[in-house]
Amino acid sequence: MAERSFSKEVQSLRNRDGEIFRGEGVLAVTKALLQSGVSYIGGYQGSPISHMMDVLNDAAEIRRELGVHFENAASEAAAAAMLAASIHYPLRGAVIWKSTVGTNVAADALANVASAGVRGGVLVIVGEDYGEGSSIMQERTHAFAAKSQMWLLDPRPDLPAIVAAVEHGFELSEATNTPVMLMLRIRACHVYGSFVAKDNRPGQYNAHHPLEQAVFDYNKVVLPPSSYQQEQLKITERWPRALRFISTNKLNQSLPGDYVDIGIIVQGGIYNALNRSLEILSLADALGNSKIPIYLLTVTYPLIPEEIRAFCAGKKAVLVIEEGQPNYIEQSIKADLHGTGIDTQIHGKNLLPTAGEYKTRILITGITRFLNGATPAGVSLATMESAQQQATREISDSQTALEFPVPARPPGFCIGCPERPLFSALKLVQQELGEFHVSGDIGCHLFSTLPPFNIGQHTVGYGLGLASSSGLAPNFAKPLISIMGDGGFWHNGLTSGVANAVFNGDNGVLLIVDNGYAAATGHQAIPSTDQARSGNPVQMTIEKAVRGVGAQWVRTIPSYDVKQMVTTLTEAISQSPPGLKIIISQGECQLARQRRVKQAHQEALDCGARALRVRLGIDPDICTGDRACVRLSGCPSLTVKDNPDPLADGPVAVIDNQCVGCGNCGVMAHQAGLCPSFFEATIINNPSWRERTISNVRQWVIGALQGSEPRTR
Amino acid sequence: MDHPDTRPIRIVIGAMGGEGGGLLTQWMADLCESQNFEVRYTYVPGVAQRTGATTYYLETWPNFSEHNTNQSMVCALMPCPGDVDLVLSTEAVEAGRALQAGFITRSRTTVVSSSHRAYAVAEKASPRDVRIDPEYLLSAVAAQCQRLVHFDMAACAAATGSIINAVLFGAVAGAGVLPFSRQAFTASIQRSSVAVAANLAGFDLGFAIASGESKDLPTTITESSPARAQPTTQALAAMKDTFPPDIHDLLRMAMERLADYQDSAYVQLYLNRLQAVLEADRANGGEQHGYTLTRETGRWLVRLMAYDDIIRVADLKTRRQRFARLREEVRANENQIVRVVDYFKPGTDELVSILSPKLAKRVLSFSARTGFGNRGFPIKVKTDTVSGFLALRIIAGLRSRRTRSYRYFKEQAAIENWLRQLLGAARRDYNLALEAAACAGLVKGYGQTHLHSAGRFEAILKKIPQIDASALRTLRETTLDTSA
Repeated sequence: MAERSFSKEVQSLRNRDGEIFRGEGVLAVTKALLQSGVSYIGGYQGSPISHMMDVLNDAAEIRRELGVHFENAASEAAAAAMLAASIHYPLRGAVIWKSTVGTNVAADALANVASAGVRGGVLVIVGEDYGEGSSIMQERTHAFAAKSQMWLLDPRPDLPAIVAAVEHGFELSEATNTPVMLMLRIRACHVYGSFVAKDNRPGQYNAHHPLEQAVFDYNKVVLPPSSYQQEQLKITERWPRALRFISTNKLNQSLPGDYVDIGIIVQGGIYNALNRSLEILSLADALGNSKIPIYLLTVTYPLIPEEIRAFCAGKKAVLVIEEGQPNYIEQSIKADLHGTGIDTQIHGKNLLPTAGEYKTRILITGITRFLNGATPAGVSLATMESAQQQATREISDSQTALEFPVPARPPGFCIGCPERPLFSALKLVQQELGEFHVSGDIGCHLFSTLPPFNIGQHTVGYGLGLASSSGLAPNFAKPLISIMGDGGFWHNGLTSGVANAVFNGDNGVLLIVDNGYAAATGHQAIPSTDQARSGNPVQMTIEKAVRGVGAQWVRTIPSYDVKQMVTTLTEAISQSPPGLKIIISQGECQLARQRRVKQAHQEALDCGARALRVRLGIDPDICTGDRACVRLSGCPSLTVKDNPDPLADGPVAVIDNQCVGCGNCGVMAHQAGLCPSFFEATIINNPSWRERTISNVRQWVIGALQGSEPRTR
Repeated sequence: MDHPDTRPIRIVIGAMGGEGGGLLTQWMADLCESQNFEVRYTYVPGVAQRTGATTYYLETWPNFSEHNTNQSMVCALMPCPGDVDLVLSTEAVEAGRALQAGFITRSRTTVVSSSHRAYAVAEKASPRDVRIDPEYLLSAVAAQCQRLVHFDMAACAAATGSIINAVLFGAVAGAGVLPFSRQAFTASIQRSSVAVAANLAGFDLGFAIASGESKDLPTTITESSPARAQPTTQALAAMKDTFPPDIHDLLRMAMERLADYQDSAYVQLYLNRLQAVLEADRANGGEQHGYTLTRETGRWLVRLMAYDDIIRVADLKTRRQRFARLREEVRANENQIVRVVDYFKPGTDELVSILSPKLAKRVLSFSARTGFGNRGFPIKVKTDTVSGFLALRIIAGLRSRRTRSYRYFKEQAAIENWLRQLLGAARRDYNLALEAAACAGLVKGYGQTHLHSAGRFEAILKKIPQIDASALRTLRETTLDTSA
């Protein structure tokens, strides 16, 4: 079961025609897919669309009723390959992932499907992980769409607009035999709002009404000469049909405004931020009535030259607001207007930052610069500017009111995380043997690169931790340590990492972090997830898999056993026979575990059964406040408090009540020779009469002994 | 806060993982919708949903349906600096973060914030005390906003068995920042059907405090352990005769500590040592400095003299009061049994510290030759059992032998050396002497940590004759920072 349950929310996916649907963006997209009659959906989790995978999993019953097949694909490549279903057959399908990283992985299948073309409508839904809250390199999906000639939708971040984009996307895809990409920015995925629902409809063919006839058409196979013809088709057939469909159905909007001699062209996805900027400048209201005419691009690729020319004609200047780089849209508009006789000044990245998210204040600055240059008729720039100066002064007073920046709160390992002892062990090994080059991977374990661990020199992609060592290892005196999560392992690490290293005879140490789930994205099941917990009929084991591809030196170690981990790591690093040494560090994700344990604990308490709770503590009068423990652990429940001793200076360490009793503090007190302030307390609820008797006797004896403690001399 | 119905109210909710920021946002959305306000909200969950700061952003348009429009409201999806009406913050630094982001401004923003602190990793891990004072943060916020409502909501949550979000929701209602009745708020909690009883309890307390109905603020102050032993009345009288009145309280506590730690002779040794400092203090213009040198030296001297050896640790671990404190800390009630395991890992040097100097040196040189015990001896003691308790009690009983032990001689030599340098410094420059006193703060920890810190302490003392006060200060601070 995933971290977040949508079992309640998915009921609204049954909403009928005319009913108001309320919910978050990803839920609305799912409803839109069901309304569009899809036959299959596939995807791979990753922020910001992880919750959409959870929604689809939790909507199993509704999917079954409608005959919609859903696949929790092994990777984005596997998900994209599902689209082959729509090449020959009138099946509508959708795939979902985090972009641009997921699109990178899916690129091979995507480009092939785009070349062959599709008969059934195909929607590629990408969570554009760009700007604040992103966890990846900052790039645009735009380039992928353009290079494969897929159409790219970037709707307004409001539910009715998003839902319409899904529905139009399928129609556009079928009208042009081309896969359509729909991009949703981070906040749009989570935006809460409402729209008027339609009835769900089953696909033309699906599990209940399967296709009967296999179709063979060599023209759809991506091999010469078909591949040459397909490229021609993209340009001569599909492209013109796309332009026609987009303008006929008015997918882009031209919004009127009083200041007709200027205008703004904007991607739909950042329209709302633009409107707020205009509102603050008194150029629009919160309903979207703008004084400046706006051409809103729901389709950002391809652009419609006629619409752009019509919008620009008669205007002195137009500002193109295009987030990210390169500025494909702006360049394209400039190229298109060239030689048409329209002499409108096209502005864009010359007035706005080339890179980075377009937040409201950035847009305000850009628009002000634009208006100053363009000087449209009827705008009082002086009034606007003095109002802005006042606001700017207040904002800067606030921003400079504190003498120092407040401390950052980067994400880190959770309370009781099984990965913490692993990296503590690695830190101890480094204290003995010196620093190593550690190749990181993608997953929760990458938090090791942050304080207090600072372990992991690079990361180049999901499941690529081991592969990313193979160029450096032979050129490095010490063995390389590579990290890989279980998610990355099944995504591609087994082949690109382990099989690759065995095949090429690479040396080094691979640490596989087996916490039982794709944990960072919210506990989606993976092939090695415990059967009882995943609900899957099969469970594959990592150890069998690596032995199966020829790994010889494999050790599986419970992650909380720091001592054994230190010994094994030291052995793996120093052992002379060359080859790949694999250590599988096992420990269930504590968040997932606690959800189960806490419930069981509560149930036991409710029926009066014996139940244990373990937690660690620190004696404040023994703690000297050196905080070595914090630097070796970083556990959120291990923190500091004012020293209760008036004679002491500085705070003491304290373990708060969120402690889940993983025991790592005690283990580290031993392994790192910390201090004697740590204790482990086991709280026994509803003890047996025998336990109670023994406890009473102990307390009586100890109490008596304490009573005779020596007093003042 | 005004509520013009020509634009949506903009609300920022700053929370940390595990504080229920998401649930609070849902309550707020449900509340506004129940009163016919139009609502949009969004958030950036970040990489991992469990740690770090998360910002939720909500816009709500009063009486939207009366607008008679077929257009929908355009929500910006992100707060804009200078454009936020209400900031809710679950912790003081998060209010500071909203301030630095420009979300709190004078002409627009009402702030409702908890005044407690949850320390960031940088604050926790630093070897120096770099914690940010919540009063400083909130007074800066107060100066830059329209209205600030703040109190310790973490303490309220703990007192009511709820989490901070419920108390904060109650504070929003109690402070009257939104035009809704109390019942409208509590109805949202009930509709969410998440831990309703606990959340309502938290809500009620938050409401009572924010509305001024109650001035009864729960607090989370921990009491310090009272000393078991008291210095003799003669010793106390002698102290009062000798030392300036300003420092009597401090010295009384120090004397209690040392009486508890060792015996009355040890208390006398402390007073004798400090008297020498007082004389030097007086001779170098101490009176106009308020005898700061005597006070500071007195504060550090008791720390050095009551050094933490295994006798002391065993003593503290077996006290009646410790058992009580421990039960309270783990929130155990009378019907529950609490089992206790203590983790020790004494090194050879710590074990031999109770032997005579001669014997200790022989064991240490054996250990140095053979590597015996150089990784320490990990021990787990079940202190709640009679045998575990007795074992520790016996070690604690070695207190009578302490003044003849190897460790005692070592510590006293270090203390004498420190006092010598300090007194020498006092003759040159008063501030230098103060810095020299503060060097005692370098000594920390147990085992290897303690050995290294004692080494650094000794090394820095050697430098005192050659440098001035500011150089010594810099040196001390860098030594502390690099010891991490």
